[in-house]
Amino acid sequence: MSTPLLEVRNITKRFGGLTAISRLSFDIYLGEIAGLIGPNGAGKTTLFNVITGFYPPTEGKVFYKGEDITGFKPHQLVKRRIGRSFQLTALFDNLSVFQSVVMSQHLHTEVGFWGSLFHTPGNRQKEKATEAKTMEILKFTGMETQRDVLAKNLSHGYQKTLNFTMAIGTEPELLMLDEPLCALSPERVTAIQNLIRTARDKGVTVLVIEHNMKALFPICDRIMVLDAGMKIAEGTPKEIGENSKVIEAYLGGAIDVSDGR
Amino acid sequence: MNSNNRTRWISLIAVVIILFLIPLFVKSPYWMLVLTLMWIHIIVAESFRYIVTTGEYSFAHVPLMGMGGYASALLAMKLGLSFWLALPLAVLIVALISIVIYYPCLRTTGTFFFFASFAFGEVMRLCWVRFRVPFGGVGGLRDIPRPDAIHIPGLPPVEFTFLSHVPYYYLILVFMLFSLLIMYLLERSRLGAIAAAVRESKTLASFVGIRVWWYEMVIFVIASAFAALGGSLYAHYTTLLVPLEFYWGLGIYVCIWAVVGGTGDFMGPIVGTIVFSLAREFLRPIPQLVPMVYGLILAATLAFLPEGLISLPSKILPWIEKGLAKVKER
Repeated sequence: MSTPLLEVRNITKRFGGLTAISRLSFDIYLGEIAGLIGPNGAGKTTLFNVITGFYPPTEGKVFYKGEDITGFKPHQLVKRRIGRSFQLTALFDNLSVFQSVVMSQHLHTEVGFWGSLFHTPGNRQKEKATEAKTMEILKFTGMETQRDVLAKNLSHGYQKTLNFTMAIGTEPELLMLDEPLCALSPERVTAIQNLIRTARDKGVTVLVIEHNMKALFPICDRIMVLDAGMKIAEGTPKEIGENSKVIEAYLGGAIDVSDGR
Repeated sequence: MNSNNRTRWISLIAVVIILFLIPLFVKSPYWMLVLTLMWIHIIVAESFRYIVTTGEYSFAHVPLMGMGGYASALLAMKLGLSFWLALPLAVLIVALISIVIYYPCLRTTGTFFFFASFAFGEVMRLCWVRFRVPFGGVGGLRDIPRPDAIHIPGLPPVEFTFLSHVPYYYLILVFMLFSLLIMYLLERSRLGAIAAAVRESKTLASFVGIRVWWYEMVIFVIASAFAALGGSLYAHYTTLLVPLEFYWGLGIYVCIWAVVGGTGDFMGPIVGTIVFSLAREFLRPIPQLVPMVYGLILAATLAFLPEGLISLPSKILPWIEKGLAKVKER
């Protein structure tokens, strides 16, 4: 494989006496869909929060395209085209779907300050371009019917999709998804699986944390298993499904990876 | 331009014309004073709301208004600058002070931000009390120079004296309309959209690439500059500044005006300020009732109209329509 897009090197995160992650290293390669699984409290979300700059690691470094991004602030990461979605849906509650997605393109809209202050014709044109782009993104994720609904009034499934849509709106090259498939109806799961695949086909590298393993296994190229803050296994979905260590520690029995959900 | 938009423009222009015609009908100097002070309070309440659009409540806002007044008065008194130069300089000075104050405050949010800004406000007020030079201590500053006369070619010069209520009215009205226009344009611009995103969720805002603290800082500095404008106008109008006027109580009053009027709407603080200013005038014979009535209005609004007085028409109209329908049935 080529050089890694994201390199995580010996990350340790301690909260007081509790070690949430200990000496964790892994790579994410360009154009793959990588999955990260593990039981509750394995440190999956903590790992995401460390990578995305919510809190600095106690030890270790994170590199993106060879650049040290350890402890960078979220907006700096978005500028480097790392997007993320949230496990518990974080939304702009009182903004409509359309406004939210316009907002998510914050860094890519070329609307100038003075132009937007006085509504100049040039600015109007740029706004139209942003609106067209937003509709395109909404159509891509199948949310165009909900465009004027306030985020807080959406159903749970659409809220999760909006979260995902906004991550797409930041035009990421690396997309980090925190449990995008859990607590969804089977139809929604299939839809989001397809979206993740399509995003990958368009050149986005994806890292997914997931509880819903049956939904995760068919879309991933590679899966890493985390337990008690350590990586206990890594491999293709098939290898993980047959790995006795993983089955013992976590799965409780062999799972069928042929089924789509 | 659709018809709804057109009605709005026409009513707006009508209101502005009425505001300009008021001095022709109101001859009482007392009511001119009340109205002129109300325009200053509207500038302060609206700029306070501008801070609230990011979701934070700053109690350094009124002390910063006082700082604008002190800066402007001292520039005029000690350096002999004209009002027309002292005002923009005071606005600039307060903008710089607000950067120093809000830089540490912005590391906090919510209740902690409230307390941090409150503490900085008290520091400013105590500075005025303790440093007799140059702030004048508890007695404050008096005999602050009035604005220089405005010379319009072909007309007699417009003088600002103890008796010139009408020129002051127009001066401050123009400043108020200008401030409201700028703040309205700012809110409608991209900066306003960003403020809404920050208010809704700072975490998510940062993950769509918004540098949250930077935009908050920009908004707070602009709001503080408008507070300073209000303070400077106040100083040169009343020619008297006392630290007690900018104590935390006024901060709470400004907050009440904005919240009761409705912070969700641009017109909210304007409505709130007008309602409370008039309520205060009618309570003039029994001033000890003012805090109680304010409290009752606040409690009633929070209980029955959480979106503020500005949402009253949209709540009452359906009732009236229902009532009319019932009357017709009979």
